[in-house]
Amino acid sequence: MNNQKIIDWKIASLADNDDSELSEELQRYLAKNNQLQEELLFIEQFWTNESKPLVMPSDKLDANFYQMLSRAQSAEQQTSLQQNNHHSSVQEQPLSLLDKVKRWLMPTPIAQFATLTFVFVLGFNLNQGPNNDKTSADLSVLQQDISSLTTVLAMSMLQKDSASERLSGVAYSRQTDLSNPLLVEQLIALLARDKSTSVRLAIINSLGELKSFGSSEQQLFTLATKEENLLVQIELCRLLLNYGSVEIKKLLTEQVNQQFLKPEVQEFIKAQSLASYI
Amino acid sequence: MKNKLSVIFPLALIATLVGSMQTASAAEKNYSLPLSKPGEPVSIDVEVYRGSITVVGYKGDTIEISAKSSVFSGKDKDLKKVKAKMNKNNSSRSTKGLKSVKRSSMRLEIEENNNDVEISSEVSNQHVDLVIKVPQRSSIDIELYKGGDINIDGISGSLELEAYDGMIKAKNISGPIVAETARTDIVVSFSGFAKTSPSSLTSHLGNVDITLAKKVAANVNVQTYQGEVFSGLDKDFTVVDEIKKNKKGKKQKIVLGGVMQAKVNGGGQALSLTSYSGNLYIRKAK
Repeated sequence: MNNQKIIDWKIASLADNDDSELSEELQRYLAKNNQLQEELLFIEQFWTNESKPLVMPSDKLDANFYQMLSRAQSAEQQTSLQQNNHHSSVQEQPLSLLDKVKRWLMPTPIAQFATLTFVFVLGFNLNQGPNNDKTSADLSVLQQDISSLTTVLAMSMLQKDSASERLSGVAYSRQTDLSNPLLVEQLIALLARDKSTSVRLAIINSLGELKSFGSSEQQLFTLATKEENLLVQIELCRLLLNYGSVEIKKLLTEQVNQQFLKPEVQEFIKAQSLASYI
Repeated sequence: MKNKLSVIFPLALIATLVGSMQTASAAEKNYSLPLSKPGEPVSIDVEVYRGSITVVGYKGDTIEISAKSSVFSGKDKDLKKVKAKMNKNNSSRSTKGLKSVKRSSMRLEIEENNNDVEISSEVSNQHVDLVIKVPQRSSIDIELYKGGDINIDGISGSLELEAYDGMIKAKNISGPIVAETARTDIVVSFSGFAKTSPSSLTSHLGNVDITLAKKVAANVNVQTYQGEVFSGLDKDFTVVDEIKKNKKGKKQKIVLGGVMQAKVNGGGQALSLTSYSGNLYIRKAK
């Protein structure tokens, strides 16, 4: 309970809603709780900075974020409903929350964070109300829509100009279970065009976390066979050999047999095949 | 992915620099560029086709640029191809009674907008040696296509370095750093190590050589396919990723080119070193 009070205090103070100081008791509690200090640092970084937070959010903070998103969404729906009652009967196609998040992520980083900050503020203000069944249902839908706050952060970081920030985005992606198809789509698109070999290698490494490549497998195979960067081509082949379907492995072997791949890659695949027999 | 900057002030600056440099017989120039927002974050973006780039961090709040240029007279496959094509198309032009006018001027463009500084020299037959003094906190992004090396000293901001022909040498840095070379070595000495983002050093065919200060905490990942790994760390490198792929529960054999990791001082942010045929050297500072 103290955790929540302190987090609420932090958000309120950042939103300029509360300039009071923490009680001595809570200050003592905070001083002993390193995890909570990290969460406060995360919130502050997320709130005030254009760059990514230094620390990862805990599951609890993640859950709080969903509650805030949920309430923000409810409030937005209510506002839209009221506006629709007042205005025309023509209705736009409703956007899913994920579409909204995607749309938020399109503009500049400042706008992204400003919007997410707005969600925090709105969520916090509405957080004062009582829980109800609808909120729980909303929460459940939200959890299906976005696997975690980390996914949102990852998607945001993957669009940064700086290679080191895109590497952060890939690292964030690894923290999720890659269950969000949009994130996987974004990772593969970046893998195909990023100019930094480091970023591309990190993405390939992350894709190993996927439970199945599904419809992306053929795309990865095409990338692997057409790739000009030797390091990237080898790692793509390794990924497909380790986690790909039997059919894809056969296709890769055919590429080796017909000498369509670079000699170094052929050598690598042969060595991998030998190792798998040992 | 780079943002194009505002053109009102920068254009005036470009015109001034190009004009003054073209009148100089010796192609050497020093320039001091004040920042729009002293004390605030600084971003430096340098793109040079041919030459060398040295960036040194200092405690001041202006950008000090020293540039020396000369006409490139060496052999260059790309340049020869272009010239051959041009000569083929213009072979009938007579030069009788004309004398060749050699270019002795320098072309260097510098733009500044809200502490974002862009410096570029994209002339293919010009060799430019740049020495740039910047505030230590600056974030640096450098691309050098041909010629010499990239040298970095005393920068605490993030570094993104790409050299296609020369080496990358960085010392007294804390990263995050993402650096890449094609055939040449990357040599980096870390005085600290940033927690903010991962760092990664990739040389396709060259060596990667790092030195870590005693206090640095990091997860050092190494991967080389045909080279060797030499470590002076107290911690051993162990294979990551591959073990969980083993279905039978037995320890998996280390496959060629697998990623190995050492957690230095308890571990921390990732520092990845990769090469196809080069060696990887991990040293501890004395």
